[in-house]
Order: sequence, then C-alpha cells, then structure tokens
Amino acid sequence: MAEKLRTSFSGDPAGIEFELKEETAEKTNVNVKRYSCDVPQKEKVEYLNVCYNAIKDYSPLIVQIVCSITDKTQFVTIANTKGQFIHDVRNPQRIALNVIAEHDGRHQSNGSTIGGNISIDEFKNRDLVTFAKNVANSALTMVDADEMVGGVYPVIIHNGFGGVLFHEACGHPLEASSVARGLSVFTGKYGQKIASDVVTAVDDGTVYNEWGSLNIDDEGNKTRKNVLIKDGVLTGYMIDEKNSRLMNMPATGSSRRENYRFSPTSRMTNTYIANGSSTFEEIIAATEYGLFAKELGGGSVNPATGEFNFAVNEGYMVEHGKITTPVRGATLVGNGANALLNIDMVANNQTFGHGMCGASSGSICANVGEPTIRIQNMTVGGNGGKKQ
Amino acid sequence: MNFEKLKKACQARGIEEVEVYTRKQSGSNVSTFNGEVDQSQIFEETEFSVRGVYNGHIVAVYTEKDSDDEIEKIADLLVSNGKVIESDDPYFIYGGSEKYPEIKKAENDFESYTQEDKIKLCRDIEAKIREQSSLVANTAVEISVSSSSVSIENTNGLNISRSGDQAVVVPQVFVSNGTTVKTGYDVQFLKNIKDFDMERSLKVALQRPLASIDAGFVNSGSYPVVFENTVAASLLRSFSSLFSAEAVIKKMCLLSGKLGQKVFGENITLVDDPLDERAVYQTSFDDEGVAAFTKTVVENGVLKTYLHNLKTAKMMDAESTGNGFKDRNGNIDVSVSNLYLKTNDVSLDEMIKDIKEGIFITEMQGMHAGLNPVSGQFNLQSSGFKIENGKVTSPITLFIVSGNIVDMLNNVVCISNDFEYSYGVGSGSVYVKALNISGK
Repeated sequence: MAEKLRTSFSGDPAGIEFELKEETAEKTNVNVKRYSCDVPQKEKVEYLNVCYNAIKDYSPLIVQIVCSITDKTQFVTIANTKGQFIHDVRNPQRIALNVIAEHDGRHQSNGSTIGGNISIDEFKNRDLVTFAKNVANSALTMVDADEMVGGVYPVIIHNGFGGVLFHEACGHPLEASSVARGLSVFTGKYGQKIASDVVTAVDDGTVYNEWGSLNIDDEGNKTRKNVLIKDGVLTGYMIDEKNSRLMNMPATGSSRRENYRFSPTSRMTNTYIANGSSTFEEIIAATEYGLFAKELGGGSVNPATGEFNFAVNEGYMVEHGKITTPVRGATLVGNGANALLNIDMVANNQTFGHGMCGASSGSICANVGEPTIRIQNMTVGGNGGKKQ
Repeated sequence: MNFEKLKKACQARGIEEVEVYTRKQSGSNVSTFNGEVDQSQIFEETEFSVRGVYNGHIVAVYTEKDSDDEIEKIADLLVSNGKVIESDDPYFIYGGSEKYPEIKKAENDFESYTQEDKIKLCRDIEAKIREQSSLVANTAVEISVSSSSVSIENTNGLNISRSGDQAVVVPQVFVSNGTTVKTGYDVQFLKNIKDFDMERSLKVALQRPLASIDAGFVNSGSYPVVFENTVAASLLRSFSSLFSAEAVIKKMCLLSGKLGQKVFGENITLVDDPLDERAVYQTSFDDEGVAAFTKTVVENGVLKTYLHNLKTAKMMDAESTGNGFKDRNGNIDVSVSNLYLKTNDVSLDEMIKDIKEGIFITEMQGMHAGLNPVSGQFNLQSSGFKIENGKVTSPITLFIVSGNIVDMLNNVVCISNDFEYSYGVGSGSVYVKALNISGK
C-alpha cells in the first residue's frame, strides 16, 4: 500500500531529518475521569431510563419515545516531521431523546440531545427529567400548531442550537478549506466589515469539557479561542497547516478529522455568536410582527454562494411585542453574507447546542451557540398559505 | 476473520447462534482543482460485523481488527451487551433462501487506468469546461474507483458473498460574473471509465449554473410545480420510510394500516427492483442473506406491500421482501433497493407545454432537515426556473417549496419519460398540480 501511494507522488524525497519527542497532551480543555469504553452498558441504560420514566406517562398523545446514548472514546496519536509525537484522549458522549406525538391523524416528532466531552458520571449533575419534559412539551405543542404561512418576516432565533444558522451560513465559509481556494464569500474580506456592529463571533476549542472541545487538534496543535468577527469586522479564519501555507497566515488549532480514514482540514470546534447588550424580553417586545424560532432543526449551506436553509422545529408567531400562537413547518432560507448584515439585536443569554458536523474530513462533534438574536427580513417557507 | 475460531469462542460462552458479515472495500480517489492535483488517496478497509444470540436476544458488534484477541473480545461483548437487552422482538440468524438470482458481472476498464491516467483525465475535463465560458472561475474534478465485497457466514449454514466495482466521476464548476457566484456539479456512476459523458457534464455542471447566474426571486403563492427527474428521485428517497415495515412497527409510518388501500393517485406505481439493470447496483441478497427480488410496492395508487426484513415480517405475519439492510451500527433495518416511480410516455417538453405559469425545480437543499418522514411535511430550499406559457424561462433562487408527500402523490398530473436513477432511487420529472411556494 505504501508503495502504491509512493507512485502517486512525483519528485525526489524531501529528506527531512527530525527527532521524535513523545508526550501526552495537557488536559486543559478536555479532562475526563472515566472513559466510556470502561463503562458497563447497564450503567448507561440507567440514565436512559431516567429520561424515559420522566415522560412515559406524560400524555396519551405521546405514542413513541426513543432514547439513546452514543459515546466514543478516541485515543489519538500524532507523529509528524516537526518532531511531534503526542497522545490524547477524547470522550464525547450524549443522550439523544426523540418523541412522537400524534393527534387527530397528525404526527409530530421532536428531539434533543444533552452531553459533552464528559465522563458518564457527569449526567448525575444534569437535569435529565427537565430535559425530557421539554422535548415532550415541544412535540405536544407543535402537533396542534397551525402551519406557517410563507413570506418575508423579521425572525427571532433563540439561543443554543439556534447558532446552527451561524455555523452553516458563516462558520463553514470562514474555514480555510474554502477561503484559501477562493471559494468562500468571505475570501479577501479580512479586516472588512461583514456583519452588523452588534455581531461578535468566536470559535473556541478550549471551553472546558464541551462537546466540540479538544486539547490538541488533529495536527497536534493546541486549540485556542479564535475571534472570527469582532463588532462586525472579519478578524480571523479557521486555518489548518496546509491552508496556513497557502494563505500565508498562521494555523489556528482548527484542523480536524473523524478518524484515520480522512485527511485533516480546517473545521469548527465550539462556534458561537457572543453575548450582546439586549435581553430576550426586549427583543420580543420590540417586534411588531414576526417569527420566533425557538428550536431550529438542521440545515445546510453552499459555502460558495452562501445560500442556506434551516428547519424550524418549534416556532411561534410574535404579534405586537408578544409571543402568540405556535406554528409548524417553517423553513428559513437566505444568504449568509446578507443575514450577518441584517442581525439588528443580540441578547445576553448565550448557550450551546450539540451537533454532528459532516464535511470532507468526516463527521465530527461541533458545538453551535448564540444568544437570542433578531434578523430582519428573512424568507420563511411554510405550507399554510392559500390553496388553489 | 476465522469463523471456526469465532464460533468456538462464542459457543464457549453460551452464545448459541453467531454470524459474521464481512465487508471489504478498496480503491482510490484522485482530484484536481484548477488543474492542480488536490488529493490522491488509496484505501483498503475491512469491517467485520458480528451478530450473536445470547440469552434469547440478538446483539451486534463490529470491528476493523482481525486477530485472535479481537475474537475473544467480541465474544465477551456479545455476552455483556446481551445481558442488558430487554426487548422481546423476534430475531433471525438466517439459514439461506432456496435460490438466489444471478447477477451478471460485467468486465470493466478500471485497472487499465493508473493514478496518472486519472489525473490526466481530470485535467482534460477541467480544460474542456473552461474553454466553454469566460465566466468559469474555478473547476474541480474527482475520480473515485472502488471494489467492494460482502460475505455472510453463520452457524445456520449460510455462506454467501456478492461483489461489485464502480467508478464515479464528479466534475464541479464555479461560475461568477463578478458579483454573483453559482455552482454546479455532475455525478456520473460508470461501468467503464471510458463511458464518461462530457456532454452531459457540460449541460448539468456548467450550463445550469451559467443559466442561473442572474436568478431572481419568485412571488409567494400556489403554483403548478415540476420536479426535475433527479430532484423528484431525491424527494422520494427521503420519504422511502413510508414503505418500511420497521417504521410501521415503530409507529413512525404515515401509511400504517393502509395495506391494500388506495393511498396515492392512480398514476402512481412504485417498484422496488434490486435487479434493475438501469441502476448502478444490483444485489442478489440483502444483509440478512435473504434472496432479493422485484416487487411492486404501490400499484396504480394502491399500497401492495410494505418492505420487510425477517424480523418485521415475523411481527406482521408477512414474508421478508429481502430489504433487510444494515444501518451504521450493524443492526438490521429496512431500506429500499432500487425503488423507482413508473413514468408516462411523455417527454418533459410535452408535459410542461400546457403550464401557463409554474415552477420547474432543478435543485433542492436540506433534505435532512426540511422534511419530516413521520408527518410527511416538506419545506425545502429550492432553485430552478419559471415556466411561462409552456416554456422554461427565467432562473429563480432561494424559494421554498412546501407540501405533504401523501397529498402530493395524490396530485401528480404526469411523470415524464426522462427516467434516471440517482443514488438508488429512480424517477422521471414529476408534474404536481399545485404546491405552495414561499419567495419574496
């Protein structure tokens, strides 16, 4: 196999000489006491039962509850011609809960996750009962909701997983893999104004034991806190070693891959919009007529055009400064570059939500996050319009 | 993996039945970006998925290691995982079908292309794309070639295997007029690399984004909608759990309790045909070792069968339809195997000629997020063209098409004969009477 690989390169050997220095990564960002691979399955099932029991008799409309725990213990060793020979361990795990509510022939599913780069014992400190009830409540609310009427609205996106919009629409185009090739809407925009003044955004791989945190990235560099946008100005990209050379900018501890099957490239860790100066209540009160997207589902973006889409899993209309009726089936579409300029209010309640992010170097754990934000004039799709 | 050793290790621990499913894959990828080699990768992987029955429960474990130590570890895991399972679902380690369909294995030219030949082909394709238009900003081409094989061996006498080769060529194009960027790509699954169709790639990966560069917005409202063939196929694929018996059992199926009833319009006939030679893959058995065969799932709007694996068949008093395929974790689920929608004998041009004002959708995004197989609802980011007075006219982008799959399949006017398979699901272009469009 090495021979086959060799034949695909041309030129002479580089002749680099180096000495390997073996070390273990400092556990400053991820420090797990008990690895998942050492935990008996029985113990995991107990936590699942806590979630299940909390909602099994909650409502006759809940017809299905699926609760699962996914964990991974990943032992990483990186050796390279810089002389690094470094070991680290990651231990991401999360509980996922999905429920289905059924009423008058309508079905509504809802799901959420809870976890981090943690040992299983950490679940003792998390309120799994409230977590489970929130998932159930959302499905019960949405099963009777009216369908969203499509059109252009101001959209208030709630904190936590709402940050997936920034992740997709702005995070991916700020990865060096698309910036270096000139494929990103943000190529050549370093130091320029790309967002409204109220927007500061960060990718931070150092948040203690968080879902997207790492001690070292997959090229052996320490992760760090990278400010991507400061008060609306583009101040940083996420850069791996290869693209660092192409862009002539330093690597930022952002190189990641799922496992040995993939080549590492620039990816996100814990990416979030930082807290602003408004409150959640102020944002709602300041909105005459719009959509409050309390929970977003997934979405996707084309990094070259910046065009994105997101599903709203739990949405409500806002009328005269108050949250009113629930709406189902709303989808947000737009252009990342425009959306950033149209954020006009940012609250101070930033939280994280977990995602699995898929790209050329595989599927990795990435946190998204934000406080509640408001975006003016978004196109919202829905099936509640007039029928012919 | 040495099956005899595995069997011995399992039996020593009280595991009565055991099966090893081995998947081997090897091949190479090369890609170029603006004429330069971007990636050159060679891979070889083997995955062993072991299922065993312990204490009346079936347990699945998978590994990429093949050693005597690993066999002992797997046997231990089967026992410890078997102890925590509480479900009383029936299980099967299948002894085999009476006979299996024969799949003709075609010769191919993959071996005659070296990595360098493939790099040259990538560059040639890029050059041909570039010479077409000055608006081409970036081009990329990837060629992947792979061979894979699956074999299943178990203690109930099954010992079968299947294999296949494929080549995929993916040209990608970025066009820009200075202010707007549009992207296009083509995916060609090939039986021989020399069959690569340049004309098709120019049409799909280049002409499409060029034609869309000045895309505008569409007014919100209800319109007749035509989904282009591959877009229609991907919508059907995303809703394929409608026909899954596993979804019925999990109470996640909209068509639950509708067997033998009319669920869609009379012009809807859906066939699941693992042997269809028009598709990229043909398979002679599923991942449980059940012989594959052709079945009509929906005939003239009537639901004829759900798709079953051995477990769902037993639970619903039916026969397996040979649709037991593994999920990511090695558990047997139900999936379609070349599902296709039968077409009408009408060309796309003819089909749209009576549409006064409608929407032709050539691209949809966010299928993993904007649709819900449980409720049947979909709200999907789309782009395409207006249809005006029977003709495809100006490009439109960033609109959302909304509907419910069951309502939609009750409102299909026609399916044109531009049939194509796309990732295991086949369709022509589908003309739907009316759907909600959200735009400006």
